[in-house]
Amino acid sequence: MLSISGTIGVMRGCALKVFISHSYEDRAVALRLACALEERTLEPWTSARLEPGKDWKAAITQAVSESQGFLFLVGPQSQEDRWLQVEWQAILESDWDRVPQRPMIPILFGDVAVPIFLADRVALSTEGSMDLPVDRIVQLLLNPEETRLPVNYDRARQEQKQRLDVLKQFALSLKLASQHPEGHSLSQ
Amino acid sequence: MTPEAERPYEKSVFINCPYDPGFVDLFHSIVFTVVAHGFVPRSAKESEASADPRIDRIASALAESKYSIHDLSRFTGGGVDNFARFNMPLELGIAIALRYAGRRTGRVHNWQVLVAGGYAYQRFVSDLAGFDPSMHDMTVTSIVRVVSSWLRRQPDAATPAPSARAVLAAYEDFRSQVEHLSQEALDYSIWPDILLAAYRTSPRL
Repeated sequence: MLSISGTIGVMRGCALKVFISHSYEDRAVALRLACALEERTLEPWTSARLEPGKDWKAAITQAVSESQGFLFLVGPQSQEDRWLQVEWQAILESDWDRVPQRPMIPILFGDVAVPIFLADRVALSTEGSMDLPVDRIVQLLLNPEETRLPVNYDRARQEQKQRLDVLKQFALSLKLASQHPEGHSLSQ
Repeated sequence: MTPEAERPYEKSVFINCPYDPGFVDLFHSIVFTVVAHGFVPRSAKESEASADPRIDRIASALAESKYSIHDLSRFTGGGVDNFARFNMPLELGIAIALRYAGRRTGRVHNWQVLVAGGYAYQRFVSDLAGFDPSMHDMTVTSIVRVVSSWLRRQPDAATPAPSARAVLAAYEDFRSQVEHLSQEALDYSIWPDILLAAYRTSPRL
């Protein structure tokens, strides 16, 4: 375990801003995590603290652009939560052309898969308990290089080649069909 | 109709957007982004030589695609009569119906709606309230940004995704190849050649 000092979340004189992305069902956990991060002098943001009547989307967009790290609470409902998908889209759009990209840490609740866009990130798991690995979260936030998993580029290139070959074959079959339109009908 | 093996459902993304001259970059940048992320673009253009009714061809290509992208930027009237065109909302409607039908069949369909900046869409297609379309400003960079971010979230996305810089740099090569093809083709359909140009220029890992 890390020893957590009172100033661990402070970088260059200002608190590290952290966006906690979560579904409506996980808002209690998000609030608990936010409190734990504040105790470590980080500055968390969660939509669970938004006041009613606020422009929800504008608030998210602003918080995403100001955040220096992202925590994704991933539960069984996450993939089907339309509002959560909006948050994920906003985060990816904001981070799309950033170099280096900001730390993103999936935190898994229960037997759930890591969202595909986080497949190359170190994922944390609560392993069935409701205890949050706060120390590990803080450690990763402060060391972004540790949040990346090594990429197997040989395998990735092979998969890319296979996908592009599928495209090529599809295009060639369309080309052939366009040259022989009489044999090209949906009814066949 | 092409063999089933050449039309992989999980990798197919149907693109529904205007083909007018003012929207060429929009259409091509979506096509290229789809290819760069390991998917196969599908379009009404792919079966123009077919004798089947256009709506049948579109519905068929949509049903063969697990994903679809619908750009509603062109929502004002056009032409001598200033008619609005309903093709794009019609095709979006088919995609939404596919998604609901998929809940029973297990054949999921995910769709993305794009709108040009602002909230005018809330007036011309108010039924979409609560779905938060992805907004762009008609520039290639903004379109690649929103489409790339959406594709990366889909279960069949390739990982790792290409970097923003790699996609944008490669797009210029793609665009120049497509322009060359268009100049040579006159009225001939070049959709398969556009796909092959995307195949050749897509950024490699």
